[in-house]
Amino acid sequence: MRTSWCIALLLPVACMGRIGDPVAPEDAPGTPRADDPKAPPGTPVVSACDAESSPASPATTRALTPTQYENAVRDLLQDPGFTPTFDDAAPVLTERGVRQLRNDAEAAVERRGLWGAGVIPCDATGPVDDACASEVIARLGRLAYRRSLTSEEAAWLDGVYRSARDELGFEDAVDVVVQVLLQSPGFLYVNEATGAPGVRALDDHELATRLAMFLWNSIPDEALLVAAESGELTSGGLRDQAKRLLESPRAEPTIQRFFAEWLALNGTPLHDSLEAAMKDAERFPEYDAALVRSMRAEVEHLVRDVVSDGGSLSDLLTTRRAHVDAALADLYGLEGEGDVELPEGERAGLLTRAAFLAVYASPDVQSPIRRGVFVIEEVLCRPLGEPPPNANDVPVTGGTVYDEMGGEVVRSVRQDVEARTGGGGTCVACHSVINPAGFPFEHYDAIGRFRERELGTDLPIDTAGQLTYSDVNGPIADAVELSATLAGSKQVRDCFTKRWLSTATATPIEHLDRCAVERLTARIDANTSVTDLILDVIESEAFSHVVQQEAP
Amino acid sequence: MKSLENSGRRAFLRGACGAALALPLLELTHGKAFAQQSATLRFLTFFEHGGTLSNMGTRSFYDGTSKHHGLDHWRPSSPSEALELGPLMASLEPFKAKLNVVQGIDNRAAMAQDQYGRGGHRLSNVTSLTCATTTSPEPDRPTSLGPSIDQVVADRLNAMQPARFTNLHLRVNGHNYGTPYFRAAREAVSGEANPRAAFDSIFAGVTTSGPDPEQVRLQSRRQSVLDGLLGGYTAFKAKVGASDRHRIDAHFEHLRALERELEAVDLTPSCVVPDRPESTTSAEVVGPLQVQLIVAAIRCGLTNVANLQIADILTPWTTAGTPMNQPRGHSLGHQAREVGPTGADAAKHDGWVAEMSDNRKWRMGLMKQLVEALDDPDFMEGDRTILDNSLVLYTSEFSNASQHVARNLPILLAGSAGGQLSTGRNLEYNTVRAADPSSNGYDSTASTHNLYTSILHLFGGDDDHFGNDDAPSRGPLAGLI
Repeated sequence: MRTSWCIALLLPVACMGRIGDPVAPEDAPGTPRADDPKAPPGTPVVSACDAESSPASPATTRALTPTQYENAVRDLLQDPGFTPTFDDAAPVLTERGVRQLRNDAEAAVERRGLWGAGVIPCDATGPVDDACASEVIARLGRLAYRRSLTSEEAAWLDGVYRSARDELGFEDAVDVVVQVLLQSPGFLYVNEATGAPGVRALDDHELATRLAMFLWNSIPDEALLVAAESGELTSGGLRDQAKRLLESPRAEPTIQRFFAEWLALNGTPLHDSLEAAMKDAERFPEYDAALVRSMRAEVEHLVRDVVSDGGSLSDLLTTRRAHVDAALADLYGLEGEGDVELPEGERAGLLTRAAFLAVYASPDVQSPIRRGVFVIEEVLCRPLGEPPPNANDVPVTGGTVYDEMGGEVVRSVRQDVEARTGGGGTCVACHSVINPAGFPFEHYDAIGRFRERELGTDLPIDTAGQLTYSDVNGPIADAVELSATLAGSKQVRDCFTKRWLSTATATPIEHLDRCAVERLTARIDANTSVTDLILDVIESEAFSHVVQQEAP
Repeated sequence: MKSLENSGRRAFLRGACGAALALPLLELTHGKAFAQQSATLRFLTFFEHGGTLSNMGTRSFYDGTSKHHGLDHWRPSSPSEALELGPLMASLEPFKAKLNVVQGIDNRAAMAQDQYGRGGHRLSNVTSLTCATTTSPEPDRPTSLGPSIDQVVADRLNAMQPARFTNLHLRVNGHNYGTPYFRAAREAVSGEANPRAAFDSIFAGVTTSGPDPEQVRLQSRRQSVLDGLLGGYTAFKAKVGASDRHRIDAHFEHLRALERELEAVDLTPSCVVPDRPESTTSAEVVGPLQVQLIVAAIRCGLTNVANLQIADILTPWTTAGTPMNQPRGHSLGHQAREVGPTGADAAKHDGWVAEMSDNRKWRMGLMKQLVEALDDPDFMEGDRTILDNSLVLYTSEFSNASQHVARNLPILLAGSAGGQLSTGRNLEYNTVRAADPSSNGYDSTASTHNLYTSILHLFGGDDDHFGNDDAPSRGPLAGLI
């Protein structure tokens, strides 16, 4: 929808007023935000925090995500080959999702022979062994519930086992009790919405669950459970455990997913994933599944390389280090493959890499509008609000078009964007901010190749742009300068930090506690490594505290 | 610990399934006339996302002299009340006498809640079957605060004519801005997009031969698991904060739905379990398979209500293909306002019309397959076909997606809901055109609220109104029934 917002009708669009409107709900806790985007320049910064502040994240009862469910079942049953069908990420599980969970539980017990030794500490096909069943309930229950079962819970599962044993026999009863555990509320839901209204500190077991769900997308392992049981996490041991989890290869998918989602490589309501993005075969004969895999792999390699090397967000935005295969090297205009330096003056970090550029493009041409919106909304955290209803998402392609008088003209993409969004229409209010943030990327075509003249029109490229509504406002020459400018911005750093805090606490970014954000971002500077930033997030008050809202 | 509450509830469910027990209650709640209705009724919805090939504008129809094209391929070819099908519905010609096309219906819930008074993508979607107030002001992700019409009808029909599934929901997957289907407030429905998974959830264990011992064992195990879970969720609910309790309530209800599937089914004599389809994601293959599954489930008596939801997909396999080279159906729809004589894409007019027309005809082709199968004379119910005993609602969130306007929605009704609805009609609620069919003017006070109130009446309700208070008037659509 945001490819072209051409507006021809006279509508009460107050885009200037809408730019940067915070999307925080009216009931967001805390005092007015220090960085209120609506505040005119020069307004003194008012802190969201005072001595009385007790930052916390909203307490919720939430189902495991499909990824968390898959990892958790694999860990619980020590069955790494198990692949469930559950894919329901709706805020309220659907009937289809609950049916999938039933089918997955049935499929999981079908694989009993493949489970790790000791998951069932006796012969399930042998004679009735009530002690064994009790052990299964206690052991799997503790792992699944991320704490020891209460006596009520244990009695409930024991009752399930006994009635199944009497009706179906021992083997089926063991299967039934495991199936019940895999679909039980204590396993499937993270329930932090307990207790009286107000702020409370999470206990050790809740912290262990948050930590494992965040960094491993799974249940805590034995070492983390033991740490929780000995009260370590609430007495200074949280960072050490977090460090241990973060250093494990199991944290890598979490980090990769964070960046893939940030760059929207997996698709959004507005565009397809990198793998599903269509490109015009005549214009881009080299674009095939193998090249797409290389693009994806390159970004993953870059993230792994910089993060494991202690790099910062600034490094991610500016480094020219890359790991490419022959096809991608060709796209970058290089000979050879492997570890390379991308051409100086043409490339910088993440935002100048092919994967990002190909996703933020139409099948034919680059999309300065979508790229500009990304910079403003996703890098600077300045929401633009909904486009007006007569906004158009037909990609602006340039080339031969008809002008206002009906005459044929040839326009570059940039010229076409300016013609369609400028003039006296209401478009210009938003697009005077969006377009100049996207034009610096004009050198890169729809698959991210660097061009001096535009593909299709052969018109010269103009990358001059401008940043507004940021703490680094000013003219921008091209994407390399844009990357360097963004890398030096506190607003960008804060935005990145908020995104991590949102992921860590399963809280939408607009619901984050402002004071928590303020105290956390005060600890982060330009040199803070991504790893330390994640650890700081985990040590922040919003990670360890929840606020229970009044009952509606 | 076998919960007494559960055992008691199960006994009640089994007992209450008998029609003799259920009917007096229904007379009280749903009116006497309906309780005497003997035919099994069905309600189906066919939702195509992204609107249709229409020249609907914000307040009037485009005349084809501006940036926008001037074509309306949805509109019946004659303004007469006797229905003459327009170009998109040409394939439905053999069933014309069993159809109604209803023009001039607006979605006033979307229009009233949109800051621009039009509807917009997300609001139009979440209100198009719910007529509900939404969780604005969350412009990016509004969710409905009421159930969709299919769910309301399904619950009522299921109380009168119990079936294994209260409601089936199958999809052709792709991009669209939110779902119009809601089971309850904030609770979107999601259906199967893979025909194999759909088959497995509908027909697993359904057999017209005797009971299979392996199946009986599976059922017993499932019952044990569900008994355990229902007890567990009841206990858990008490420990969840009020703001999130609806999630656990919904989970509990879904488990109960799975439990109901374990009840014995009286399959209809004509039930034919279809072959297990391939696992596929190709829309071209998925669409017809989903239609076949819905038809088979209805013929077997497994459900009274079914939904087929078609995302705003592109259709490269049609004759016209995808010459516009748009990345998704949404952009193809938007291009409508660039292909008129003064539009930037004027030169692409014919190509755009060909692609859009073939795309929408493919979707309508699925409707044709559905209608044809339901009307199959080999599956008569007395002197009526299943189609005669059904109402199929075909609609979309827009008429013309390029303007984001939820006015003059495409509404096609098939079947007469057991002879209650006269068919073969073209009903015009646009008062300007009703007076002067050649006009491009538009004015209407009829809303989907009114249409769905009428639909509730067809299924036995005597409801005063469906949905929120955004409609200009309450009550059913005058002149429909």
